[in-house]
Order: sequence, then structure tokens, then C-alpha cells
Amino acid sequence: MWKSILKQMFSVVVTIWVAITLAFFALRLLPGNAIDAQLQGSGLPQATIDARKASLGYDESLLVQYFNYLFDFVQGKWGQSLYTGQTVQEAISSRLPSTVTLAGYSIMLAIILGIGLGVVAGISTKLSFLAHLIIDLSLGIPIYVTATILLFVIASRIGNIQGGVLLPMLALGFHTSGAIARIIETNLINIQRAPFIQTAKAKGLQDSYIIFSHMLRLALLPAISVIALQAGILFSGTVITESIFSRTGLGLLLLDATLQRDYPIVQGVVVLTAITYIVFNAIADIFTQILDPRLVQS
Amino acid sequence: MRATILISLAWLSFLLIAPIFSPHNPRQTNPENIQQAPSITHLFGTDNIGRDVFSRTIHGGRRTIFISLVAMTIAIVPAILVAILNSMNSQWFDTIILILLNALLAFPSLLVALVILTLLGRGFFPIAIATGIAQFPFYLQVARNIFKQEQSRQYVIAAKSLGASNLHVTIYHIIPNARPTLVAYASITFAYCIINSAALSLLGLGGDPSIPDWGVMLATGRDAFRSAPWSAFAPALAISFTVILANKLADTLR
Repeated sequence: MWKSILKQMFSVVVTIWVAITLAFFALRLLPGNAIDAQLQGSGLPQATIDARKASLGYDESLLVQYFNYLFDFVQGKWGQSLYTGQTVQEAISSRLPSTVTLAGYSIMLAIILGIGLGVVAGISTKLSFLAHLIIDLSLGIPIYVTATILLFVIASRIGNIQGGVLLPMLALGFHTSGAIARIIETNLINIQRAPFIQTAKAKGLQDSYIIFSHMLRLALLPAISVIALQAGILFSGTVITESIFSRTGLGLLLLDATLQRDYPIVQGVVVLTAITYIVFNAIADIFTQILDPRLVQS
Repeated sequence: MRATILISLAWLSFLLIAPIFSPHNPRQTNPENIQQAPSITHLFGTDNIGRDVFSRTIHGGRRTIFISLVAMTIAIVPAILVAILNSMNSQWFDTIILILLNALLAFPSLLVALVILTLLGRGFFPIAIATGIAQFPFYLQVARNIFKQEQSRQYVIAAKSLGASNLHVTIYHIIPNARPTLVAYASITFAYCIINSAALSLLGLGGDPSIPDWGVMLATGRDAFRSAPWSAFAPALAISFTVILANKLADTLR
């Protein structure tokens, strides 16, 4: 058990390092270097531009810059905005509460809705077709359509509640629930054919007992990794939802920084996003292994 | 099963020839006719500068479909090539691919597309390239798994013990077996390309706003959702229908 967790932690560190490296070189090697574009567009004399670049450390060779970035990164120095002079951590932490609140509420709604829909769809009842339809809609309708419909149906009737967390939570929660429901549905359908369910039925156990204590326990396990994956996406900021509902979270910070080519901020948010995703996934893996010891052995 | 394929083909060909049914010029603005509710002359109403929403929707489909097709190709062709190379190479090559893949998958596709697009500029090909590159790791994951999985099957071992070369086995034995999965996931990739390319336009990176495009229309409609909600209705419906159809098609092909 501990050996497997230790191995997992090592692979998390390696993956995060590779992700940071990819982000660093991708942002610098792509055509239209952001810093040059920003500084030259400002019309400042060449000497000022050179001085500015030197003060930011951009006059060094790429490899030196990379190692400087890694060392600073580990020490918690993520650089500073090219526009406001704010440090990247300040910019991120000022936006974090908005994103975390929305993500927390949305993932809770998605879990409740997803499990409900998945169970109804997976265990054939009269309502299964309806659950199927809702899952298809959740997976198929893009988030910006759901969000716009909500704005139109609710906000235009009830009045201006655009600043609140309710509407974006509904949009994201519904949008995320489909993936959770789909995996639970697939699992339930597969488990229904398993021999131990036949045995349970042959013993004369009640259907509801079989569903809740035999099938659901097993069907919910793989949902953990899907939930973690979705949570990772939500907690790193949702560009579209935040921009439609005008919430100043991480997603909007990234969008604005990208449009302004405020490159340290872009790098900071992108790297944070990757770390969130990797860590959430690792936690889900460990959690699943604790709950299902068969996975460690295989 | 056949019905899904037929409906998909019909919808695709309709979108490609649809502009001939267009009752109005999709770029024609009309200051005296702004934000008209749906009527006989303007089936889906008019937008904030008086353009006919119906004409713009059926013109816009072609652009969205073409962008997504180009993007899908950019995502899947290199991914399949890398997966084939990977399946024929040693274990440590696969380990490196896996580590890179895990790191790449940690970046949400829309963020990747967004960042790449700002560096490429605006327009048809920048959107297609940005959307396609962002989808590449997701397709590579599927392609790598299927080729790896087929490589250890009995029929491959049998063919190799009969003296078939790696390349021969891949082309004549593995690819035919992997094809259903590859095609099905291509359909899902296509759906993601539609979602993401429209999202980029929605965020204001679509370029020239006079071009009829579903994403651009959504952006226009969103700004006017109180006064003229119909101007976003048609493109929203069209995008959702196309995406759901592509997802259903993937289920069918698998």
C-alpha cells in the first residue's frame, strides 16, 4: 500500500516537472514572442526595452532562463505581471476565492445530479429513457449554450442575479454531471451481468438491497476518478462560464492575460491548472486503491 | 445504427449546400430592421445590426464544419503516426510517451487552444490549428492504447511468427482491427473541435465579425440576450445538434 502511494507521489512530481517544462518552452518558442510583442508595441526606445528585458532576466539564454524559472518557482517566486507589476501569486490569490466557491458548489451539484441520473439510467426503470436523454443533453450541449439559456430563462425573468453564484453553479453542475452519470450507468449495466448478482438474486435478496449494497458500492468506485478529473477542471477556473457570468475568477484572469500577452500571468495560471489536475488525479487514484484493494495487487 | 449514420450524412451535406437556400445576404446589414422578432421574412429574426439570423446560421455551418474538419485532421493524423511508431518501438520509448502524455493531458484543451491562438493571430487556419493541436494529446491517448493493446494480441504474435514484418503486421492486421475505435474517437474529437472553435469565437477571438460563423453569432446573441434572445437561439441549437449527433455517431461506430 505505502509503496504504491510513494510511487504515485514520485510520478506526480515528475509529471508536474514535465508539465512546467512544456509550458515554459511552448510559451517561449511559439511564433510571436509575447514579451517582444508587448514591449515593441509600446513604442519605447530600444535602450528602455533592453533595460526592461534585462531587469526581467529575459536577456539571458533560454536554458539559463529555464533554470532560473525552476529555482524561483520552487521557492514560490512565480514572477510578476508585465502590466500591473503585481506578483503572479497576488494576482492568482485575489482571483482564487471566486473560482474555488463556484467550483466547490458546482462539483457538489454535479456529484448529486450525476449519481442520481447514472443510477436511474443504469437500472432499467420507466424513467431510464428520461435519464438517458438528460445525460445526452448534458454531454452534448456546450457550456456556453447552457449558460446563455439560463441567463435568458432565469436572469431575464427574476432580474439581475448575474453576480451571484447560483446561475453559474447550475450551468457548470449540469454540464459536469453528464460525465459522472455516464460512467456510473456503464458500470451498473456491466455489474448487472456479474455472477455475484445472479447469486444474490438466487438467494432471494430484495432488488433494492442488491442495488444499494451490492451494485452501487462497486459502480461508484470508478466514478471517483471521473469526479476528480472534473473537479480538477473546475478548480482551475472556467474561462467560458466566468466570462459569460462576469465572475472575476482564474479563468477570466487567464483570458485577460492571454489577450494582453501578459506572459508571466499566463504561465502562472497555466502551470497552476496543470498542477491542480495532476494532484487531483493522484488523490483519486490513491483513494480508489484504499477503497478497492484489488487494484493494488493487479 | 444505420439511422444515425444516415442522419449525420444528411445533416453534413445539408450544411455544405445550405447557402443556396439562404433567403437573404448573410452580411447585409439593415439599420431599419434591427432586432426584429422571428417572422415570415426573417424566420429566426434579425440581429443587432439587422442581419438575417436564418441566413447567417445556414451560411455559418459550412465554416464551422470546415474549421472543425481541418482541426480534427491536425489532431488525429500526427497522433495515429506517433501511436504506430510507438507500438513498433521499445518499452522505454513508450514510457517517455506516457510521461509526456500525462503532462500534456493536464492542460485543459480550451486553454491550450486559447494560448496558441493568441500567438498565431486571427482567422480560419489559426483557429483550426489551435483547436487541432489542443485536441492532439487526447486523441494520442486513445490511439496509443489501442495500438499497444492490439500489439500483444494472439493474431499479431501469430503473424509475426510466420515471418511478417512489423510494418506489414501494422498495416494489414492491426490497423483494420483498430479502425472502429479510431473512427469512433475521431467523431468525438470532431465534436470537441466544434465546441472549442465556437468557444474561441465566442470569447472574441474569431476574427472578422461580419463572417457568418456559429461562434461569432453566439457572441452577438449573448450580448443581446435580453432584447433579442432569438439571435443566439439558432446557432446554439445548431451547435448542440451537431455535437450530440457526432457523439451518437461515435457510440454507433464503436
